[in-house]
Amino acid sequence: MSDQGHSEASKMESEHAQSENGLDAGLNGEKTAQDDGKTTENLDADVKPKPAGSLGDLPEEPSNSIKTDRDDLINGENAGQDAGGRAASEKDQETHEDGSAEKESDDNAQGPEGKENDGNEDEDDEDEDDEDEDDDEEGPRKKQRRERNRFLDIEAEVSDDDEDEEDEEDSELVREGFITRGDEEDEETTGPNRDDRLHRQLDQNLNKSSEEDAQKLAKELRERYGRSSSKQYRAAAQDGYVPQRFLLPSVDTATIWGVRCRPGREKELVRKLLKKKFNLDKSMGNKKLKILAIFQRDNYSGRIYIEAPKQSVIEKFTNGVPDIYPSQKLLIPVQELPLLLKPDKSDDVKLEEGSYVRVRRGIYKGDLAVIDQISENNLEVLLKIVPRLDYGKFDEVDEKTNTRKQKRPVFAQRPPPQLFNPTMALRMDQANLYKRDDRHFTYRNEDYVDGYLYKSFRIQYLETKNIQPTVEELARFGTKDGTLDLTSISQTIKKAKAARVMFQPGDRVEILNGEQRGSRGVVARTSTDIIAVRLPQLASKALEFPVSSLRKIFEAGDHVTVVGGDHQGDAGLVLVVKNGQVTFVSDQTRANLTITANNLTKSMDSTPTSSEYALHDIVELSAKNVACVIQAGHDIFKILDDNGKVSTITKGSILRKIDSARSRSTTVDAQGREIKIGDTIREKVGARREGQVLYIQTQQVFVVSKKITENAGVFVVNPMNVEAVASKENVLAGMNSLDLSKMNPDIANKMRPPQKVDSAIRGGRDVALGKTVRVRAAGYKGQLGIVKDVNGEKATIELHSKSKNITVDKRKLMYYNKEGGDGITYDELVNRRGRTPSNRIGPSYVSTPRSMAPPVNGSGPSGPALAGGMTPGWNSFDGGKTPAVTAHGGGGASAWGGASTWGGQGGGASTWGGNGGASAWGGQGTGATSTWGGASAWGNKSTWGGASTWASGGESGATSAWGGGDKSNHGNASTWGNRDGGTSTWGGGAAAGGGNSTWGNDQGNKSAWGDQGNRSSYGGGSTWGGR
Amino acid sequence: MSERACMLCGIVQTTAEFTRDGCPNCQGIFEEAGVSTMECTSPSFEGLVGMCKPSRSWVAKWISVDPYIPGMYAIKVDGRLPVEVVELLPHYKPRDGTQVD
Repeated sequence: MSDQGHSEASKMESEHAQSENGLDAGLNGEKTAQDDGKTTENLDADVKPKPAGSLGDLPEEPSNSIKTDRDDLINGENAGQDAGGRAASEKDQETHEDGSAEKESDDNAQGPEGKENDGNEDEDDEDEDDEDEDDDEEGPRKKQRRERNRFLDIEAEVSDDDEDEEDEEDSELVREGFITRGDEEDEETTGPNRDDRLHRQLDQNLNKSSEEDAQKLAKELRERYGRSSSKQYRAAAQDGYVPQRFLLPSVDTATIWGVRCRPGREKELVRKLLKKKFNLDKSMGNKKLKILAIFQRDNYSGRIYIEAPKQSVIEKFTNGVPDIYPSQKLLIPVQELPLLLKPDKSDDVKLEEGSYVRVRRGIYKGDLAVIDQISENNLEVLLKIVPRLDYGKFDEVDEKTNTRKQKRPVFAQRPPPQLFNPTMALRMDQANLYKRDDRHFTYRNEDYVDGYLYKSFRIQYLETKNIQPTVEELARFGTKDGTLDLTSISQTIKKAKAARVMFQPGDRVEILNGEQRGSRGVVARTSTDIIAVRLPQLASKALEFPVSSLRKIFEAGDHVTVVGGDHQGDAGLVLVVKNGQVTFVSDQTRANLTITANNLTKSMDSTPTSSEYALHDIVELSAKNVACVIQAGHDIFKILDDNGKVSTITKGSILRKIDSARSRSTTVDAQGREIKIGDTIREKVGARREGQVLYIQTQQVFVVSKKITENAGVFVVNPMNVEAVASKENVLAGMNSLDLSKMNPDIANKMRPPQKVDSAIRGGRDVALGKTVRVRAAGYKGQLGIVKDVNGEKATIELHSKSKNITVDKRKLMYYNKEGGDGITYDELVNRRGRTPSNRIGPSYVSTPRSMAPPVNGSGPSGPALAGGMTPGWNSFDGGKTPAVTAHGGGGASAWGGASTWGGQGGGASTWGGNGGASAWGGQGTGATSTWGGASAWGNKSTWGGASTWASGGESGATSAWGGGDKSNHGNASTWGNRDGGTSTWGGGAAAGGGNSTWGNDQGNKSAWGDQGNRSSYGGGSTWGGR
Repeated sequence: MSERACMLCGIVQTTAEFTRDGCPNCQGIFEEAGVSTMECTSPSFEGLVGMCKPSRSWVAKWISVDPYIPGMYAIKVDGRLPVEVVELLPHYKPRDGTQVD
């Protein structure tokens, strides 16, 4: 045994020893001594002695050998590396103690055992470390000890330190090595002493799958092994302590692959893969995948790391696992590994007593707290918090038992933070109050000192990072006399603040510390925390400084904007700069503010405005009140409300902004023209201000004018006092295409009433726009469409039936309400200010569609038709609108006209004349009468009942009266005549005078007429008369 | 399912497992020191390591879990062991990242 395993090194060593010390004889003896030492040790461990060569010869003590063994272990490293010179020098000292010889023999002893061990292991990655050698050496000895363990009291085991390390062995090795021996052992030792039954049982056990058995045993072993590990741990921690720097990875020892995975699934994947590995190990037996470890770090999301010597194994291993992308993997460079496995997270804040934290849960959620104490295990901290107490105000008191049922405070209804008030507690809830001393109370099982609550929280319920206490919060933590611990505050705030400072290229800065302290420069480049500053004295190159060592420079007169802190968004003019504190006058509040320079930035003169509301926005102040913003600040707004009143309000009193672009509200101007948002209007009275419509409120229109400076050009008017100048859409088209001839009053007068021309010139929005119409002209007759554009007399219509636009005379259209109903002509549409009739037909004439039928007039001689035809005429008189009449420029049908009256007047009054059928009237004496009388329409009307007058005037002559005009019939129609006595119109008729009075009467009867009477148009019958 | 990590060896288990079985690696020490397992484990940890083969793995050596059983370990475990335990272990190195080599 001793000779076989001699390695080259040991030979050399021994030769050295021989030559130098001349101790030839000693060598052999010592070698054997060493062997013996081993054997004795074995004897210790194993009951059966091994056949050792020359046991009796040995003078050495076992203890000695153990000692040297350990020495060897310690020196092993050195010995292995420089066996040459170093060993030689050592030998000088050690010869007396036989050190060198022992070393050799130890090495020898290791030789064969190591090989044996190799054979046992299926591994191919044999490490050449000392440690591994140790491992190897342990193999057989361990087995022996295990056996012993099964039968000896574990606690009685005297642990030998160097062996403890050996215990930490690969579990599979343990399994394999131990199991076989253990089974044999069972058979051998128990066999003879037990009965047959036990034998059989054992056989059965053996027949079981050996793998299963092995695993069970291994598990059992591991459990026991684990329990007894306290000594192991201590041993490892004491003797096996290796400074981390000796563990630094090398290319051979550590191959770790970073593998991409779905971000957020890292932990889950680690668990999953570990489980998979264990399962695979079970099922694959000896052929195990060489995956050593799988890990994840929170700092590196989207990646997990796998320690495996071979790349191909990873693919095999991760195959079929979702969320991991093994194709994207890379070998982590060895030098990066220590960083990757460093135990501390970089953004962690170390908790210290006195630092600020925020509570994450409970009623104190979000509250600032000061760490008072940190528990022993670093897992809990005692916090000092400003309590939120209601002193049982909302407790439910049971009347019968007079017991209180404490209501658990909830976050939603938590009381405001206030220092503990013993007096309140005493008064409201005495039962729960205990006084410890003057400053210290216990109330409801919680401690209050100096008014602060001291409560223990777990660290996972605390927010520790990036805490930025507000001054208000800090003030609450002030001591009793109100002074703050400014240094601690600044310590806490400083870093956070520094991180948020924003520098921009071009900012003037002063350097606060370092070599360039005090010098001033201009920011050249910026990054998150390093700023390059160009200094005037070093013009060539910009120097880099950390953000924290820079301060912005401002001068009196600069206009600045606050970019950080409570006053963020405010702006103003700098008054004083002192010690890095800048005092400026706020543009908004006119108050002086003092702000740290780094929270400011230079700005243009305009006040930064709120992003929500801007100038000329229409805002809602209450359900009924709207207003227009005429000056927008950050928090303060000046508004003009719908009464025209200017006031200053805060942002909070604005309910919301009204999107005027989406508002569909319209109104009509004094002329009845439609006004929409965006249209141009002009005041009819007063200053005749002109402007664009911003918004339409029921009774008021907000208008903005560029020519007015007052109130940012906004004013409020009543729509009845304005006239539309141009609509947004057709202002250009409409104006340009006007037929100028229409503007010539002379021509216009001849052709049509002046109003008409007027409206054309003013060119507001044409009422026909956007209306649903039915075409009455040839070609598309009867088709429905929508008026898209009106250009003079022509309307462009988009047909419903097919996608086509046609242009038709706007008068050849019937206008409908969107929902249907009855159509009206253009003229009537104008009369009605652009409103189309609703479905319901009113009793009035106006709504009678039949009434509008000039063509009908012309069509037949029948009385009723005429009658029908006439009403509108009257009606239009009614409205004072001439067009109805004028429009019927029929031709001097003498029929009526025959009625010299009409005819004469009309000359052109072709309208009536158009009734050429007037002959009907005229001609048909009685018939005509009957007509009138029969005209149920008329007849019904009491007025015309008077008509019966006509009829009764029955003097067909009367008819002729109309017809003849000279007849006094009219006169008969006292009705008529009376009324308008003065109406020159009728007067125009030969017998006019009396006849006029006729009219008058009628009207008397008829309110309708009466109205007309009032109308200047009628009286102005001058019109008629004029004709 | 709340998990905790042993402050001594770093193994990650559910709270139930710790209460029922203790720490598979260090229970002996805890018993010797006379402390409860809960005192020596922490709910706050980071960096999950699935340790398949502690004896061979460099990662295991680096985070010093190479003597222990395969399983789930944490790289960083917040918290401090009770004094009783620390007294037993002169070379104890806390796992909360406070000690830097």
